Amino acid sequence: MDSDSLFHLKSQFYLGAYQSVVANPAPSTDSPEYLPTILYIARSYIALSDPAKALSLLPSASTEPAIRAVRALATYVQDKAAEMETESVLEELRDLCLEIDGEVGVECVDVVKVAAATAFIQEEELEEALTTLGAGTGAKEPECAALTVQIYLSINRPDLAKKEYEAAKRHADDSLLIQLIEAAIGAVAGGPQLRTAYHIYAEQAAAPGSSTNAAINAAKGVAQLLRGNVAEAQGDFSEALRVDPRNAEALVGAGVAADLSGRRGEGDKYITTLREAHPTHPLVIDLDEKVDAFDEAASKFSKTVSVAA
Amino acid sequence: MQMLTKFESKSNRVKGLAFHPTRPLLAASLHNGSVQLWNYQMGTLVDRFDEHDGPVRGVAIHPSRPLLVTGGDDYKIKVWDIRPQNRRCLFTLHGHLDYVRTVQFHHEMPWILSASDDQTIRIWNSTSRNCIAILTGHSHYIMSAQFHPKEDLIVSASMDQTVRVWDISGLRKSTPNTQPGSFDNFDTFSTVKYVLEGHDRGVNFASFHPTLPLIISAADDRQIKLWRMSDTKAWEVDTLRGHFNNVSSALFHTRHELLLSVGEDKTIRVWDLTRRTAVQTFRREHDRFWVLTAHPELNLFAAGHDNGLIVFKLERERPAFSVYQDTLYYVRDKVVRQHDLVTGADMGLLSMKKLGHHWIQPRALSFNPAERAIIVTSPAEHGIWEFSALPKDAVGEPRDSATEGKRGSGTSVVFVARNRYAVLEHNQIISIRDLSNTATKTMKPPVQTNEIFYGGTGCLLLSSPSAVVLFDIQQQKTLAELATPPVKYVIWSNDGSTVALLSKHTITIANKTLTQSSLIHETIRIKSGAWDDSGVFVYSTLNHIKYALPGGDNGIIRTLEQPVYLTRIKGKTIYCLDRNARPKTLTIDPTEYRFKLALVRHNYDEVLHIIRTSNLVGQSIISYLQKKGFPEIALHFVQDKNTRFDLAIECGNLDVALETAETIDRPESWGRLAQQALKQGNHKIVERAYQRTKNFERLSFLYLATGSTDKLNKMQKIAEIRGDQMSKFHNALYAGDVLGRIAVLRNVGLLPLAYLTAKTNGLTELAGEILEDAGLDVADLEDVQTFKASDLKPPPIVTPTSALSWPSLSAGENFFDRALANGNLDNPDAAPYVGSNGADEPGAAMLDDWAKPDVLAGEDIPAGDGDGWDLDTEEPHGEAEEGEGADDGEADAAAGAAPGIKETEIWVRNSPFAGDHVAAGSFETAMQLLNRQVGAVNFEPLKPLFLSVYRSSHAYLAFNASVPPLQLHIRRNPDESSPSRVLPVLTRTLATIKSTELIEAYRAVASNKLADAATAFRSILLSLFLVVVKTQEEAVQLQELIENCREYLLGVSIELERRRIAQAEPGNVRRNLELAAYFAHCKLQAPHLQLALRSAIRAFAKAKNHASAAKFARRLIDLKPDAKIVAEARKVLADGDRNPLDAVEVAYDDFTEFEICAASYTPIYKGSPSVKDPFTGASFLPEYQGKLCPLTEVTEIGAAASGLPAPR
Repeated sequence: MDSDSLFHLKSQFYLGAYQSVVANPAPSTDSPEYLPTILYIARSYIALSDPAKALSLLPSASTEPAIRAVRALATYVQDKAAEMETESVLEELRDLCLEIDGEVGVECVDVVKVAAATAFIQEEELEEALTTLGAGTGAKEPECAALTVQIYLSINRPDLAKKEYEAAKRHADDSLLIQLIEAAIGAVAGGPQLRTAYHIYAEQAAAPGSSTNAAINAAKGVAQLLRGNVAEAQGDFSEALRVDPRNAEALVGAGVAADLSGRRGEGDKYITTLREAHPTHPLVIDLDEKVDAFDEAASKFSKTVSVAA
Repeated sequence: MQMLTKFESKSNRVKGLAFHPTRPLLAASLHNGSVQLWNYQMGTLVDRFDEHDGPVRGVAIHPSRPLLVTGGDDYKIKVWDIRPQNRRCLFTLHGHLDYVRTVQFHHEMPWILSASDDQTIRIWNSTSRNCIAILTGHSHYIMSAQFHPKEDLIVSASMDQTVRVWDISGLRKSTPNTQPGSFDNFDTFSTVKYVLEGHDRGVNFASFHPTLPLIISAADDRQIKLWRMSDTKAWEVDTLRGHFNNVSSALFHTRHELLLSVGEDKTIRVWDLTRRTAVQTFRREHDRFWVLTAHPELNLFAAGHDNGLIVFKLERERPAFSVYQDTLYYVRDKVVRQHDLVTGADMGLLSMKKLGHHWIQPRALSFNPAERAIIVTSPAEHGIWEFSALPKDAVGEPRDSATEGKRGSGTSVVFVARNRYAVLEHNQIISIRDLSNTATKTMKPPVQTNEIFYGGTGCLLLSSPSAVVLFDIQQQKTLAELATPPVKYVIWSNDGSTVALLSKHTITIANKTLTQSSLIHETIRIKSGAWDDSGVFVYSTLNHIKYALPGGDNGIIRTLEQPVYLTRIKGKTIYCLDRNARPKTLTIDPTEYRFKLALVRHNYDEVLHIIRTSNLVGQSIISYLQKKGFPEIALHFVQDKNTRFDLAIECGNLDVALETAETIDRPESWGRLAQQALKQGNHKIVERAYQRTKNFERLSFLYLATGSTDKLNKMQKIAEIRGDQMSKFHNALYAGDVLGRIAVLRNVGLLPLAYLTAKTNGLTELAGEILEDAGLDVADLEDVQTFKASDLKPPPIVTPTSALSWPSLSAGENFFDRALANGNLDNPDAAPYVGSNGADEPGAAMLDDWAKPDVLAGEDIPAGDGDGWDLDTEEPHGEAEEGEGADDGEADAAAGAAPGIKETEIWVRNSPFAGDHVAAGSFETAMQLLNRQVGAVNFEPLKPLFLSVYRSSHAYLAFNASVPPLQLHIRRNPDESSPSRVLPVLTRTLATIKSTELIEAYRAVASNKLADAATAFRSILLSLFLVVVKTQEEAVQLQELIENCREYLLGVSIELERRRIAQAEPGNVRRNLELAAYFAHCKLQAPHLQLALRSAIRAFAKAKNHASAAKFARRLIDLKPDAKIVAEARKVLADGDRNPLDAVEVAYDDFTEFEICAASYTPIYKGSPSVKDPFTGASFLPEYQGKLCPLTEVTEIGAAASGLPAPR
């Protein structure tokens, strides 16, 4: 069993409370928890779109594959944001994956795989990401399973996601991450599984550390929204936004909740905030695409028609 | 079964016991001659009666009056008044010739029954204080005699080994005229009905069953016998053996089919009445039991022994229950029931009959909403529990849980997560189990744990004898510890942020990490509690419902006759279970605690609201407010002028203080007001106060200080009138009025001073005058010292403050001063809505406004280009997307899985509604649908709507770090998971449109914002393109709403056009009139139609078209408007009758039915050719065929359309 602080760190990382993860000090290098701790912190920095901090935290001279992989991921994110060429970093990640393949005694193998797969997903190389994660092979690492499930869900294959979840559950029943996987599947699948998802999020949102975690409150709100409880969802999103006014998912959710409860202008306000805070959020991109799609579709009907007067 | 001791006392041997029927009192008669009266709830000795000589064996309390009767070894029967203010022995009944064993009041007659060692049973009339019957027949000491609870029977037990039943019906008949007569008469009143023989030794006690024809007897042969009787005979039914010494007493349980007995073998035994078997034995170490009694109403017993008495009950009465949202799950008669708190629907779901012994009720119930499962724990066998899923709905007899439930042993079991529960095992181990009842984890609690409770996510609360511990299950460590007495119940607030820990006499309210807490002590047992939605903890004690604020402040809400177990608080309603586990509701007035809560939270708006809307008064609330430092709020509760004045002074509210001082009008009040006002620098009020108290000196000085010279002059005059020379002098001095001063001095004959004053002020002439008056001349004054010129004068006024008050003491105005100042309280928000029901005919004012041509808004209808326009012949694409991507088959589970079907595609497949297609983001198909269904061709106006509907149907969920979030699709049927039926959420529904936008649009019409109204109605029409209807009823409503909006939009457009013309071509009266007429022709709601009609009347009357105006007036009257409007209309009507002519000819023929062309605003009479808009159904002249409908600007006039899809 992990020590308290590492356990806490891990939970916070999985729950998306990256801010509180990075608030933790790095342990001394000779501590047995040094490696896992800085990996969580570094990955949280990356998730917060601050790869530079991650790089400064991870010793560049380290030969530890996990550290190298996370460094590579950080470099990739940094380069991509700067619109630089990323092929060499991806290549490095591929090499690292090969390197650890079959090796025994390498610490944090899952981090290597997840880091590589994360980059591949961002590159939209889903197939490669799945291979890297060992999808369908009954991999033992919950983190790999979580990422695999997310890929399956994003390509509308909840059936495969479920299979992956069942397999992962056999290895690590009832860990927090497994529950979150179940919740994500439930949120996509709907019906009775959605209820389970909601209860998982509600449970975690009520956990002691979650009052400052916007992500989990947003997730709970999303589950409420999916269940049709708009008012309750609104409350959760407000809570999330109180903690983090820039939380993308909460902004989207709050916008939807406002729309659904008939408060028209309010929804637009949230989306405007979203546009400013996260110009690359999938919804922002999607909406822009939809505007074009609308114009294109509407043009098919446009004939010179005048208003009768 | 448990024996729950409620009270115990130590004393001399207790021989007799009696419960008070309504109050928590118990009378105990002792072997040492004393009679004690205990309050067993408080545990206090209320009174003692010490007049008997020797042991007192019999005691009874009157069922309805405050009377106590006792019978002692001194042969006496004494009747006592037990009211504290009146306590005394009322009288003594003499007659028995030996020890009196038992006494009893009759339940309705004024009779006292006594049994004595003199072998007689006597009945006494407590009114006449005479013996009215002596029952003889027993041949040894009579140990007990009891009335039947309903019938005219007595049962007695005697050392002669018999139990006898006596018929006393004769006594009742002859009672009224019974005279204290000879003994001979007595026997005729009563007869021995049955003699029950069977006991081998003397019988100590016998009593009737409250309802059944049964008798129970207890005897020295160590047996309890059960007897049955009919009208004609009685016989022995059974014998209960088990006591191994004399049985002192035995009786029937008032509610359950149980018997209780006590004996000299130091045991209390419980027996099953139907099975006649022993259920339970409770032993006592040293004390032989002598007497047993049952409470007439409650599940409460008392037993007397060698060294005192105990009050006990056999069962916990607190039902096991759990509340989830608005549903209560509880156990009654060992059946788990579900009770909907909103509807009151109640049904049995699951039988728990086999959990533990027949007589043992479950102790606790833990509910898991995620799985709809429960765990019920029972104290049987030292703790067992059962986990069981609840059926969805119960049909018929609840099924038994034993068939599929999972069981185990353990003292306390709770759900800790959706799929986990924790069991406190007997060996002080906590195991965490999954739903299949396999232990996934076991752990040793860090403290001696008596009970476990849910402690928030992943945590347990462990109740130890001296503390509660918040224990993290996953990390197995203590997160927090809070010292409390043993916690019995834990109640979490609805949002899970606060928890109430209930012990026997304390409540600890803590936050969820147990880091902050407050403690409330109660002297009376705390029974239960529940959280109000606003964050107030409401709890019940044995006799009160009380509240506790988060800070620990508490108070009584109401008193209780019987204890209840609170389950949920919603507003004014308390939901609770009574002792019989029947759901009940109580209504309370939450105002007081809401008010206090609002104060504590500084939520002054709420405070204000409560003050405005409730009649919260009373000395307690005032002193509370004063104590808590809110005198300014208290002020508004007080009517009493003196208190009001005090409070006003306290909070420095001078206005109120002044007002009340006026009404009180006592010098003392004025004095205090002046003082306070002076402190605040409000010299106006000080002035007023001094004036009222005629405090001239101070007043003058005040004027001096404020530099108010004219007032000082006035004061001088007043002083003159008053004849107070000193005052006059003062004022003259203050005012710098030298002449005045001199005049005073002269008046009072102080001529030398007058002279000198005049002299030193350079008034030589005056000085000379004075000198003359004195009969002297200058020469006489030679020896008088000369003074230099006087410079005595009031200080110059730097800033005149007489007109303005000085800077006030309290800088900022208090919230309440502002909000509550003087009667502002009484008129809350002024109605913002401009209705037509105002007092001073706003309708007319509005109409005037309407008539003004300058209110024309710049409503621009795009001018037609007049381009040629050919028919749209493009074929819709139909089901082009069908079948795509369905062929995923059983793809490799390995990497490279093919993408599945998108939910949005499924939505598109599942629905024929454009709104659903838009939600799915499939804009093109949506447009095709709209084109086909309602002839939509120009989609630009719908663009924002499309985007907003699409946006509102999707949410995003962040999952793994650094990868894009998952897109989720919000469904309108969240319980559905079958792909063939899922559909998107309804972003635009008829209900919301009607309740928001439509009302706003109406309001715009009523307040004459016609341009806004046009925009609003057009926007509604656009929304309606995307509304999805689910039922036929909704489809009808949709159609009605479309037509309604069409009429309004058309009407408003016509009126706007009329105003435009009125301004642009003032000479075009004809068109103006026509448009006014058409507007009145639109199908509007009555109040709006009235406006249109009145506008038309005015226009027509002005143009001298009296005949038409009269027609409109008639229509107006038909709408039954206000009387004033009717009068106006009648006038017009009369004008029309007098002068039935139209000056201007207009194209308006109200005899023929017509529609209005929505483009040209001209009538299309019935039968004339017209074309329609496929969506709104608006009519147009044929020449507009193929153009865009000006109402929606979306649809093509006269286009072929299939209509909106049928509801599904």
